Amino acid sequence: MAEPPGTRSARRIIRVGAIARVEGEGALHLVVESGRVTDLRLEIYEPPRFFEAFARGRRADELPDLMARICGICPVAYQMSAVHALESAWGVPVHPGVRALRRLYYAGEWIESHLLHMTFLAAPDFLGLDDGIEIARIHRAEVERALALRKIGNRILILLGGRSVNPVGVRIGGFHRLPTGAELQALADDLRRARGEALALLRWFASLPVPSRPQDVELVALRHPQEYPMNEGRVVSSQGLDVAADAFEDVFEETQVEHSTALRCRLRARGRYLVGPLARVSLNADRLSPAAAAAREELAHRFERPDPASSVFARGIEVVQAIDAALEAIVRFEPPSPRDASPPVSPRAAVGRAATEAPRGTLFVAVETDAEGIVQRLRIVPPTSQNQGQIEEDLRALAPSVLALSDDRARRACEAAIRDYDPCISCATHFLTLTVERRPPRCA
Amino acid sequence: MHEAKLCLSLLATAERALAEAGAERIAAVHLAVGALSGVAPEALAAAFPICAAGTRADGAVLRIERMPGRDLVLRELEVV
Amino acid sequence: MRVTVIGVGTRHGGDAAGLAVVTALEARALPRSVALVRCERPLPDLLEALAGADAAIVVDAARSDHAARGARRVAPAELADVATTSSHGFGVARALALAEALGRAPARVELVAIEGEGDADVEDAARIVVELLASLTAAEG
Repeated sequence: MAEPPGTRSARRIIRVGAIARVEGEGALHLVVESGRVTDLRLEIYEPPRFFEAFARGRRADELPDLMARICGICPVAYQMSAVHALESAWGVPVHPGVRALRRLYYAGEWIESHLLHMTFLAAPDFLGLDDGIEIARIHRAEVERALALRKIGNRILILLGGRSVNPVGVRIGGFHRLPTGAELQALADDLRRARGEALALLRWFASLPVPSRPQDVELVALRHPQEYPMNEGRVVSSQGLDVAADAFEDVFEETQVEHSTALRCRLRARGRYLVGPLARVSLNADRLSPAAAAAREELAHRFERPDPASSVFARGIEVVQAIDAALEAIVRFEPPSPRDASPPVSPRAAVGRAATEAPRGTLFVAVETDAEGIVQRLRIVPPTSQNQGQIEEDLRALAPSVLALSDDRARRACEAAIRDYDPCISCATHFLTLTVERRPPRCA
Repeated sequence: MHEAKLCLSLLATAERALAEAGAERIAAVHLAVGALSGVAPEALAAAFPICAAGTRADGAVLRIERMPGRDLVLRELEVV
Repeated sequence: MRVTVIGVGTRHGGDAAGLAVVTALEARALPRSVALVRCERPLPDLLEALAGADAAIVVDAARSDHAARGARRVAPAELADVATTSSHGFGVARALALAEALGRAPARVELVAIEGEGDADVEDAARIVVELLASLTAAEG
């Protein structure tokens, strides 16, 4: 119905009536030919491009608040990565006391996030239960234990962030409000008790029928000269990568995935890689606290080869590690004064980059500001989009065994495999729409 | 916060419809948001201009109608 | 009878209605046996808030197919049909189910949904809560 040339274009209405499905946020499409999976398309994550665009033209000091809204479960890592990038760009000094409080802050988020995943997402998968409600009925003591531990993480976030939903306590250079000595001491007492609980919970997980899916994949994580990495370190890998966080964009690249809004992040030199607790524990085993290291030793057989199904154990070990890191932050460091926590901040026209470890894995942020401190460009590379390639590879290997199952069981098997990576959308128990296209065999 | 993803998906559908109709650009997009869809119309309205920028729907007016049910529907397009 | 009134919400836009109802109730002289709690995240806050109460009234912003504005009571069976505006994962319905599974839910849990966003809707919800409180204490009688 094109207008004939020369005619003045008139507005017209096209009826479309297309429905956009909101539920089932993830989609996996398999193409099967002669019993073999010949194509696989996975959509499980939408990169925060909205935020990257939305931030342009805003004042940089709005970024901590903005970034915290990207993820309801891991606001700290997004917020702090941006703050670190800005501090790097503007040369803002960070007091050692503030640095320690930031590790405490990360520890709180790791504890909350890992325990939520382990208890309500992973455990039901291992036990063949539908969801966390069922597991609460059948294993009440363990769920109560996990919830009590989560509470401590939540307390830390409220203490330093002001609240756990969209925390606001963070500013460039420090915090808006500092915890009192009494608050920190009370927290330390509870953390000491929590360590035993976290170890007991991990032991319970070790007793569950956790499957095994070893794969060959390059592991990537931060590494620090002394600490188990949370918000500082160089970017290293199991294949010898060792670069400063600033060099992230030189070493990794993002490409658009065809037919999808997703971006694929890969190592320029070698392609697919894995970030997350499994990578962190494997690359930083010598940095674990004594209790966490001992826990890892007991489970050493699960870390011999990279095995996404072992991620649950890596998370459990990291809960113990986070508790010890939190304790260390409180006990070993002088709390900063309000002046230390609010250093003078002068914007510069500059680019800053930072990489920190979100619960799900390495998160990279690059931000460019002008001399007035207005954001010109923001780039966020979340852990889940870095794992996209590896998740697909994992599913490719898994797919043949899944084809023989009923539709419902096939979907659940794929969901469980994806959940091992703790991608952002796996909050919903049934998040995956699985479609299998069976093509007839081609004629010879 | 899935409104951005929804916008991108709706815009892709809109561009296909535009091409089929042989028109040049989209002047207006008419959506219907279901009360049970879990979609926040305000967030959709905020995301839309950003997602539409640089596409054939750049500058398009967004009209949102509320309706019952769980769906999000691209009702019609005004094209030039 | 110890009754806890829990307003669920976050401080942004229409999602704050549950919290606003708690504020409205704070202005009234309610019996000391009534606790008023704001809950920003169903998990863990709702679980915490339910502890130690004989009965609970949960107030949340919601949208349903009903044309009515204002506020209304929601029967537990209806909960699946009423999309609450909590963030993904653990909404009020799931948190309540979890509380029940853990044996933490009080014997009686009443649900009030606020469908509008204005002061009149908040007042409507507050009125319903006060009526519920009266009927709960009368039943105890």
